[in-house]
Amino acid sequence: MSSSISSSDPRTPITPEHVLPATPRRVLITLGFSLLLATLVNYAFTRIPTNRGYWIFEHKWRLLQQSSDAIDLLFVGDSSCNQSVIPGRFRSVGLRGLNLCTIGSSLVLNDLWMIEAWLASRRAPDRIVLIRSFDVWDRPDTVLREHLVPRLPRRAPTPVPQLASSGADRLRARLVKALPLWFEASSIRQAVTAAGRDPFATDSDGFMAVRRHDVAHVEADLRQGFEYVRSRAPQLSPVNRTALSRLAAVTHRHGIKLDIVSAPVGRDLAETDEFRRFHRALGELLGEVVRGYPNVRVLYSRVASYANEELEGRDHILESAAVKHSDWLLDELDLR
Amino acid sequence: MLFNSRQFLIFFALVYPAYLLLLRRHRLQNAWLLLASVVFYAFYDWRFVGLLALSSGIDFLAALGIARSTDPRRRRALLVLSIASNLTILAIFKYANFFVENAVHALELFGVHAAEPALSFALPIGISFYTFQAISYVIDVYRGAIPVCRDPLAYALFIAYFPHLVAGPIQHPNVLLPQVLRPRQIEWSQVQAGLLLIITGYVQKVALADNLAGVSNRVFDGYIGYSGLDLVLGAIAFTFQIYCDFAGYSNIARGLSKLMGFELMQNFCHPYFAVNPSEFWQRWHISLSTWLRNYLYVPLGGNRGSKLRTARNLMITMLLGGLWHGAAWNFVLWGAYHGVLLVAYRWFGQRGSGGRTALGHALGVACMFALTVYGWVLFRCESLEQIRHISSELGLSSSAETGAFSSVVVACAAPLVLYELLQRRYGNQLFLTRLHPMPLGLCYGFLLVVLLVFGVREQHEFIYFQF
Repeated sequence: MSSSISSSDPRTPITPEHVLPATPRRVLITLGFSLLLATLVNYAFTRIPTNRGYWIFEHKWRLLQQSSDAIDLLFVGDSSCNQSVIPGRFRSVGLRGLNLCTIGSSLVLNDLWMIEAWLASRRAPDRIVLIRSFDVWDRPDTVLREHLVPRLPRRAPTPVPQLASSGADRLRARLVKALPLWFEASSIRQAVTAAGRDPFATDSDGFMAVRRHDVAHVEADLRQGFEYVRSRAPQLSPVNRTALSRLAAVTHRHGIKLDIVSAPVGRDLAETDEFRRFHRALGELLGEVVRGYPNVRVLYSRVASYANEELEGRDHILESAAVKHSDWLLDELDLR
Repeated sequence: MLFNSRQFLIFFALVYPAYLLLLRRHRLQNAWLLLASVVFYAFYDWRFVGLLALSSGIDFLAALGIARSTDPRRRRALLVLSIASNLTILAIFKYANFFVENAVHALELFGVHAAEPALSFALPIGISFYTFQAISYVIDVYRGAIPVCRDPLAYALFIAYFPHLVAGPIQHPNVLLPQVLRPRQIEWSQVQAGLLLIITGYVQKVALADNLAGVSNRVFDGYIGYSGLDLVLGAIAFTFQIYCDFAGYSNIARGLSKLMGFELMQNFCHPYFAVNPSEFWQRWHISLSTWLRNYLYVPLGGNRGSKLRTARNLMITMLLGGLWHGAAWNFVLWGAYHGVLLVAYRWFGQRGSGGRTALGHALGVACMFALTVYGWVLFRCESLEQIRHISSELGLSSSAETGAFSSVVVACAAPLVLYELLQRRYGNQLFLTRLHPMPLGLCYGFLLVVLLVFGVREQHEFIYFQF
């Protein structure tokens, strides 16, 4: 303000604004090409998977359909399991495993569907291990109904009637698929900024190796995790409770052992009293649901915890820690 | 209703077609625009619409009285009445809490314990902007610089015109009033320029400023735990954030105005390329600096007196300019800091400004940028303790977060700097509009994709709303 003020100063020339005379045609062509480019980019992203959760869900269903019969151990559960269990590590004790874990919002219901789909055409595995993180058990069916059910492969079991997606859900799912630039922007952003670092891929046994480490994200995520366990008591959403109960019954009927194991957790969170209290109560709650099924064990007396540098998030571990965690599971499941 | 909200997109999609339909019915079009502006303002807080009407009514009548009267004393009395009423409203709603709190603290220093009054005032959004615009109108009528406006509808629209109502640019009456009074034409070249300003404005706000806010907010809110380089990056992030935030708002406001056939003044012109404090203020918030020059600095005597008198005028102007930004000591300190820079430049800096080499120029830009960044630290901090801590800890020690912070800062600042270099290279702020429509359309498409992918969807308020 001053110099404006300082009339003795030579005034700095302000870069002017010049516009060519324009015609309606020129403006319309400009707008047309801008929309064309946006449409093309949008189309490209309908062909390139950018949402890791959706990709995992579809990929694991494909893996289920393509896998051989000779599986001893099936892992089902959420994304914490997807990137922490290396089935290849179980070959050391002569077991062939398959990691079918997807994401938290797929609920236990999807785990049940996968097991039912497997049993409909394959030999029953000896053991099924269910691993879901402490903060996904209370999730409602919204994401599963609105986004994941429309992505189920055709050969998947028919969704239970109350979860059949409505017309509005199907429309939304179509929009999400058709307009990724709008609905999937955060996934695209992550895919662009992490390009090449953590590609969407698993090994042939379904294990997804994650290597990207962001200390700020880990710390913030641990704080959120602490807030989660501090502020509430463990709960099972009705859909998870029903599905778990049915999973216990199905495995019992087929003579399959079902082990429910706690997911890995960041040490800073695992060692807090709030988490221990929450975790213990969650184990008791799960035990109540599966009571009466002798084939089911709830292994919640111990939790595997990891240092911050081994974490991607509060309950998501990096590839280096996944090796340790898989070995820890061998002990926890008494498989050695 | 923020420009970067869905509400606003719906609002404008409803207002604009009707506006175009009324293009040949000027008064009706003004009435429609005024109604839209009132609705726009009421979305923030409908209670303050009355205050806006009261303030506008007083100034409109005072200016009419000034124009009708030939008695100098009566004219002066009306001018004083108008300015006093504006400043009283501003003082009550913007500064009362601040003055009372400080008075209570001052009394405590003398051992007098006074209870703070329970009553506190909410800040009407945009009050500083429309008050200054109204004051300039009455003063200009008093000076005979502009004819009085006898149309209350036109005057109300001049004040309440929604694109600039809550965060400027503060329009000189000479520029905006005639556009309100005359039937408007919308040129296709205006549409073309308007589209560019709108899309670049949204990119600046939603894709750049709001992403930079992620770094600056974390650093300034948790300053105790950050290393020296993190603090530097936080300060640089805020430097670009506040610029993109405010310049983005101004660009959207100007772009929308062009679509409606209005021309608002340029509010920013590459401020971080300034080589000295004087030039910085010719490029930063130009509408406010012009206002302060015309209605405060020059009436105080400007630089017509001695060196000391000029310094006094500069300091008063900058201190009040700082206080205009908000009722808090950090803004006063920021104003004082820039006042000292300006005085120091006038006393010592101007001697060597002739015949500068390219290297000298670059060094000048770098030095001024560093001084500006530190100024923003004063502006952003919320306590003297915070200023002290950050000032003493700024350095080059890094932490685990330094990499992530620097990535965001570089990713947001580099495209902006490149774009401004091109504007300077071509000597045209709107150089893109000179492209063939096909590449121009592809540029817009690219910016649209950037906006959709990298734009922050949660609506962050524009920083300058609080002023």
